[in-house]
Amino acid sequence: MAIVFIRTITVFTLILLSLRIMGKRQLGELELSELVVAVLISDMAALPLQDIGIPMLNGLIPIFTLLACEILISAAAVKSIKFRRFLFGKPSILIQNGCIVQKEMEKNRITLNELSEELRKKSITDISTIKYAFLETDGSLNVLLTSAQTPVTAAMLNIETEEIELPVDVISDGRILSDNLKILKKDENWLNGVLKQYGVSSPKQVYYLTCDSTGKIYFAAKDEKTS
Amino acid sequence: MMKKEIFAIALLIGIFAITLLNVHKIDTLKNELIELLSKSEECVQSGDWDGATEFAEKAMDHWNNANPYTHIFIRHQEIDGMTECFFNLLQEIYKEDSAGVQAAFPKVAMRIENIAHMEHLTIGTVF
Repeated sequence: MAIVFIRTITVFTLILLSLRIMGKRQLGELELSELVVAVLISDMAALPLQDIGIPMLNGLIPIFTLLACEILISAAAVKSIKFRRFLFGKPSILIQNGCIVQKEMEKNRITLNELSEELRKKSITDISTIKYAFLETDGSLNVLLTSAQTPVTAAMLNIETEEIELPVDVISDGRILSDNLKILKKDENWLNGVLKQYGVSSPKQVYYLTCDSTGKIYFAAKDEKTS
Repeated sequence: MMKKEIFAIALLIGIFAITLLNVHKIDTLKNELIELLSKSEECVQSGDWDGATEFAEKAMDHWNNANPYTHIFIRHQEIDGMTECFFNLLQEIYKEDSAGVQAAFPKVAMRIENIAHMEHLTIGTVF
């Protein structure tokens, strides 16, 4: 068992370092340590399941060890900028003021095809409209357009607008969320009144109902087949 | 935030402590079994087959009684292999076959040594 513990930490460290060396392009949406933990845990958990001759602890101990390691790594990353930079690296600027930074492209081993693909996913085809494009530490690409290309906002046109309030779920798939009713400072009498307005007699006939602090309601009745 | 880190450190220390306790427990079991097997072997050498049988059966019973623990911490394949070695040893003792017993004793002892060694933290076992 001590061997499993030591091997888990050794393998975790080695995979962490290997993926760090491989760089951001391998990671997709997960941060480095999260990816390692996800990959290892899924494999480790399967071991005692694949072979019942292997004690269950041989699967559980690595999982708990990985969990503890991940907590400590992420806590250390929060507390120390140096450690965070060492572990996760830092974002790279691939495009600046409409120009592709070729040095960063080469450093991160990103091809033009991959860059174009990521920009197309964001509905951007003209690179000259991009102020900054960041390759983040989790491998995702984030883009800031030039101010001329940024969509116009009400503030820019000096137009006063109503503030958006956060809608709160009141009924979800036929179930009343009582805690959320309390947040809205409403009660079931109010809810019954709303249901009557929409022509339903029971919350069970409601698929989704939300309300915000201004009283704006979104209502969706259940389809006949599902109610 | 601090609570989670303390929990994580405590978890790591706890797991490591359990693994070290396991090493100690397996070592203790190994030493007890080898002591009984040594006594059985001495009886064989002095021609006392009844004594040899008694000590060998005690060793096997001691091994079987440790089953609830060993099945949680040791690969079942190893446990089955060890049990089979015990059966072979007892078979040779019942037959009063000196030559067979001479081969069977080291086999059982080596098996239990290997099981205990596999749990130890050494360069060889880790890598």
